[in-house]
Amino acid sequence: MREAFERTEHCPEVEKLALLEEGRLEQAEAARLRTHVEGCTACEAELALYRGFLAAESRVEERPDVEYISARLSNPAAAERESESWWQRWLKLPAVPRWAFSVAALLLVAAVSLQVWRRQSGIGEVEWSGVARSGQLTLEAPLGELDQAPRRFSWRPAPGASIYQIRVLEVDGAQLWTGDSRETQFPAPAELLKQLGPRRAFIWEVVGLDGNGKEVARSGRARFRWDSSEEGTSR
Amino acid sequence: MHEVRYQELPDEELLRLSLEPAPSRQAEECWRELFERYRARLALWCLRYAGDREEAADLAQEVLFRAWHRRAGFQEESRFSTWLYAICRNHCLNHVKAKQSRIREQVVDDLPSLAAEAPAPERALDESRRQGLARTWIRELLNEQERLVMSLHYGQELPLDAVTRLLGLNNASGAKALVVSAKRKLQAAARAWRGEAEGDGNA
Repeated sequence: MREAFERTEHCPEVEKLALLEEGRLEQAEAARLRTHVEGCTACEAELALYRGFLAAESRVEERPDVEYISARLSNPAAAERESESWWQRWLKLPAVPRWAFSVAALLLVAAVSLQVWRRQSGIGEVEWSGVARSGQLTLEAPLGELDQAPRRFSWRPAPGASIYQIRVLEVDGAQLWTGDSRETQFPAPAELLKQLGPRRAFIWEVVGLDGNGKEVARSGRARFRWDSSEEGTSR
Repeated sequence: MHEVRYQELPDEELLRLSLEPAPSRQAEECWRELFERYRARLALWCLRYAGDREEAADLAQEVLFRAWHRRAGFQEESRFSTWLYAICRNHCLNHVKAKQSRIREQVVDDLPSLAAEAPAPERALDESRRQGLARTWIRELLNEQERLVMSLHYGQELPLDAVTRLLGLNNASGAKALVVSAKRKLQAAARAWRGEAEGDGNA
């Protein structure tokens, strides 16, 4: 008998039920659907839930949890922008006029020619001061989708860096954890692991500092998320 | 310069404007307005499905990300609220189903077995007649709350505690009490039908 409570091939999708509810279907289609819905328990239940969603009236006992969850949510549009590196943002720039590429090409040729001329003429040569400009630092792991919580964070060594500062962030940019390491890796500490829940995205970054605490290299922000298959099937 | 007042725009217009190629300040502002309008509603709905606020927060965040990534597929004939609801409903339902083992328990002794016990072979019901009989009993014997609970529990395989929260039931045992009363009514109808069938067969 349970089949009598299940959806059938004749049951419309909830979008169609909503159009019926809003009186936005053509008369013939509306009449046909109404006849079906009046005799279908599955559609009746579907509509009841949809109406509940629209009403969105939280009960007194639900309000603290709803406020907590609402506060934890981050706007995906902003979070995505935050997690993009500068070059990803650059690639998404709106259409650049063709003349801009020509100007850029001319400027590049001019800059290279000037540099060649300066070298040949000895103008502007300065002795290497030993101070490296802040460069790129490459993160190795964790990156992307993982099947278990990350146990170790690692990155490639940056020239001139003697200590690395690691930051782990929520996708909205809120800092979860920060720490220092003299190695190019560190095991994830227990207090951080406790906060790295499954099926949630996190961001991390590393800054390389020299012996005087001056920044010499910085990574982009990398995103990771973990979800074990066991997590989905066990209660 | 003309300033757009996002708060005054309908959901569907905001969604349309949010489709501008990134990075666009207007696209982001539009989505922020939609996010503010619906965050509490999504939080509430995910909480009712999950029953746990941490799990619900993860679910709601995933729904928001899905909606953001699928916004180009929005069909303009629907309302934004319906579209978002459909994403939320499907995501939450899949999550809840993945967490629990299938509900295999029968509502009542299945009608095919009742039909098999019926004395005369001509009383064996074909599939559509069995379904018709079951649907008649459901419409005539169960009240609205019983029908909804049975449909969500047996039809959509939602756990009883989630059904209780989703329908806002405030009786002592929630959905469980309604399942018990509905099953009792349907079993009585099935017994009566079998009795009549046997009576006819002996006549």
